[in-house]
Amino acid sequence: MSFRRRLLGVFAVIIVGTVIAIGWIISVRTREVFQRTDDQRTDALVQQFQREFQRRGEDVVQRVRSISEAESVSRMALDLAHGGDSSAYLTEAAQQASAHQLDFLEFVTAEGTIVSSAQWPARFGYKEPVQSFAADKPFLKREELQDGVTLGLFAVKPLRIGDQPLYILGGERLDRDFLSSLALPSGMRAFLYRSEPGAFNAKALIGADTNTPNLDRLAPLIEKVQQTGQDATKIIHWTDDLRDAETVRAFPLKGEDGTLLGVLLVGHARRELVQFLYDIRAVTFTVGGAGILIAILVSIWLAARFTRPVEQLAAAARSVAAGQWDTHVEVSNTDELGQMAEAFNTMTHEIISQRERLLQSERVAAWRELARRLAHELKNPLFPLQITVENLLRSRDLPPAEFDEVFRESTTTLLAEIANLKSIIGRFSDFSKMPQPQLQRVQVNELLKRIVALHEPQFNEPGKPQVKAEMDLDAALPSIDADPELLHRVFSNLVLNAMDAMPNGGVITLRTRELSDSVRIEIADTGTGLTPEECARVFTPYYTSKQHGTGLGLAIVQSVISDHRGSISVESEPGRGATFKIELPEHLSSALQADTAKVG
Amino acid sequence: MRRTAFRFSAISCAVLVLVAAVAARTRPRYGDAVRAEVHTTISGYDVAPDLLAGYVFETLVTTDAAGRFVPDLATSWAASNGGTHWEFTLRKGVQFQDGSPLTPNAAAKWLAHTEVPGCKAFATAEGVSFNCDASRSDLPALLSQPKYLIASEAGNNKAFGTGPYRIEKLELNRIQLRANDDYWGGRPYLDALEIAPGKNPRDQITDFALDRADLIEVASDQLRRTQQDHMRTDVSRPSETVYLVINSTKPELRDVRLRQAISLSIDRAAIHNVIFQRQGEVASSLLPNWLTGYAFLFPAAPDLPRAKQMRMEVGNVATIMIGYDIADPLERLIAERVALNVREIGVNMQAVASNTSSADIRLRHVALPSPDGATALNGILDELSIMPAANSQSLEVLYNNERAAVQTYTAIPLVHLPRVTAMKDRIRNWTSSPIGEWKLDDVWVTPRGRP
Repeated sequence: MSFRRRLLGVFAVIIVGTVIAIGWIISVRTREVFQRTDDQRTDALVQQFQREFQRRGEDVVQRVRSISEAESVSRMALDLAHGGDSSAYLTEAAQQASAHQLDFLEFVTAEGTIVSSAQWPARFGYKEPVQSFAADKPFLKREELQDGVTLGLFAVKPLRIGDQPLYILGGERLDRDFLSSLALPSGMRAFLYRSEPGAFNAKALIGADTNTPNLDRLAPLIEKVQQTGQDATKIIHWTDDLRDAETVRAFPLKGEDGTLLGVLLVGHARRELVQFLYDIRAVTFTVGGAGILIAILVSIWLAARFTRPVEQLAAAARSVAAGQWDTHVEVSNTDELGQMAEAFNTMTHEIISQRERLLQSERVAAWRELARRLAHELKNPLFPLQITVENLLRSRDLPPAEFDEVFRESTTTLLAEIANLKSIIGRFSDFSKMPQPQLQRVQVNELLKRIVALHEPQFNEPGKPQVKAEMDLDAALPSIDADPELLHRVFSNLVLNAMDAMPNGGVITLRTRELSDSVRIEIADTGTGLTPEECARVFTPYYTSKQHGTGLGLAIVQSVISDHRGSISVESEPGRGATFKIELPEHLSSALQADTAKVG
Repeated sequence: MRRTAFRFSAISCAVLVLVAAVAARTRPRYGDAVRAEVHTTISGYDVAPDLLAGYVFETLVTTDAAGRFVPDLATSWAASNGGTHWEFTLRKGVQFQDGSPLTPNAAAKWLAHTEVPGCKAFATAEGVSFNCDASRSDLPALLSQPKYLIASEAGNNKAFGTGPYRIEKLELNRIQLRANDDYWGGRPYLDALEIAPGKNPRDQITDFALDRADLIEVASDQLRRTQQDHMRTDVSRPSETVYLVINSTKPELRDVRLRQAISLSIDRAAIHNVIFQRQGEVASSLLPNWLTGYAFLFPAAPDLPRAKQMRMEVGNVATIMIGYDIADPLERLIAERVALNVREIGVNMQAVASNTSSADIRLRHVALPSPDGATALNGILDELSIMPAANSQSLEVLYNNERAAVQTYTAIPLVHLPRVTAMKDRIRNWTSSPIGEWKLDDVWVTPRGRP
């Protein structure tokens, strides 16, 4: 990945992360603020509900009190106080309840015996522990009716006429009508759950449409209130749509004795809040998205601004690596990147200068080496020539017979040395004009076998240490495009070098392996080996470590291998022999022919 | 002296005028009509005769104010062959309201049509004879019941009787009767009698207060109110019994132990004292005590421990429905009270309006069909669909029969109630039978607006 892309990526990640973080913080903070506002609103609404609830309780107290002040009730109390027949008042409670719009009304004697009951007229004579209820104060009570149990908001008023009081126990049923009659703010509703043994029962939920789906989602909230006896709040998701959620606060409704009679559930719709949060989120996403887009465009521009000099430097470096030493980078400013570009230009300038100096020195060294080699090579035959000529000059005074013999020997020597000189000159001449390879399919394994067979006599030459040739040839080695004559010279040269490196005998190993699209040939010996310096220079023309060598053998080998688009290397350590590794392409014809044509 | 004579003459004249005026107010007068309202409903002409017995239709035997069986269309009767053969002599000169004479053939034909249980009716020269499979010592009492009235079929699903009134118009909510000028016992004082059937007790009270009715039936719980309002009332002896009739397909209710447990759990005294405001008497027998004298032998007090034990023996019991007439608030109160009592022994009973659902137990008011104990018992058993008891005039047999019937617990008596009638002051010469049947033959009325 390019630096520009990485820089762009970093910029994008930072910007996107920042926008998301800001959006998230805004969303969370907004949610918190609105949640707090919603809680406060719910608190206010709940307080309003509780006040309304309390007001209704006071209303019940007032109505019970007004019943106690009714003339007919006073007459009844007086009559009962004087031992009157209670059966005459069987329907009195129903009449008074109807007149005062109470759902429940019972007249109860001081002994707790029901005289008259509006809600269940047949309960006359049964007991009602009315004495345990505080007078003139609203309270909740579970009321058993013929068709089940219900909850009511009750008040009791003792009417004292005579010695014994007559209790008036009146109440209002906490039912759907009661709940719907409460003045509740918009978006708010109230349920009443009548506590009963066992698991949650949706039918005990007063004020809710029992056909409403997922009513059982109130169960955990109700159970929590039942278990703790404390208020609890929960967000109820009626459907998968969050807008249908409702904040429901549950209050325990306790009777006079502290037992939990029911749970009052005040629900406040969250639709407006959720919709508002959705709107905020939409705005956040829109603004954030636009910000990200703008930020990315800006970061592209910034990245381009920052990376262009770096890219120019990289391109310049690649040019230098490709050999364009005179590459120059434009210095556009004076910042760190400008200083880097200036340093690069200085560096390339210095490299060019040093390269020129190195080439010059190498050229001088090469000439010196060539001169030294030529002097050495030529000096060897010249010395016998000089001796022979001087001997011939001295032998001019000898008798003719002897002179003839000397002359004959001297001319022979002179001819031999001159031939030697010609040979030396011929080798240098051959190196200067290596022939172009004549390609054909060559079986390398076969070629190596022929080399070994050719040199077999030298391996086993009597009086000399034995050299053993071992062949580790890949049977599946493919044939390659090569000039067999030149390859023969290469392998033969390497085998002779190996033999020279093992004056005390040893093992020459010839190994072939197939590579992908190429073959590898290794010729290893167990000889004296090479130092690292020798390894580095062994292919340099005219360099030799032998006493009588031209230093052209391995240079020719490298030249041939190079002409075959191959490579050669040597691995060696002193005393542990040396291994020459050659890699040659399997198919060479077209490329080489093209090169040949180009040269031609 | 002359002055004294004048004074005497003046005082004498005044006394004579006063006596004449008083005599005029107590002397029966002909004319006018009485408007009566009753709770009984009629669904058609064929059931109207029961309601009109005594007015339009008559029986061979009737009862007097003391409850004795006295001649009506039969002037005499005699039994032979150990009570298996009976001869009833018909009254002479009686004719149906269509002018046709009451003949032995007509009477025998009608009685054969109504089927006296175990007996076959035949016309004789003087009247009607009955040949019974077994001794029917109660036959005169049986034939005094409205069920065995004598009528003449006139086609079009109509019939003519021999009574003091004839039918002028018969609709489901109004029956107009006109005085029968040719009545064998003499024309009644009233010109007409209007009867409005199917009126519930509260409507009757209202109509009475608004002077839309002269004669009404009063529910027992309203008796105290009518008395407080100084209404003129006639209270009969307890002659109507309120029953819980168990007619359920519920397997539990087929178990006599559960039925007995229900009976033992009911606080009859509370129902009698409060709901019926001490009118009548607590009922644990089918027949009231005044009729038999042994009703106190049937325990009426609730026995909750025993009831609970018997209920436990039954095991699980599904909710039992007790039905009541939705138009009768008193019935509803009784049903709810019974349901409340029964809950105390662990049986869930629900009071429901009987016309809206099928109830397992229903409340029924059964009027005493006869002032004769055996006849009344058989009539009640027939009404309650309980196997009729053996016929006997023996008090011991009657007790055993009644006890056996009570112990089936298929009909649980709650209270025996009197029949209460409220009437306007202008109605004179009012009489009723011991079982509360109105006797309007000799009733006359003063003109409206006059005391």
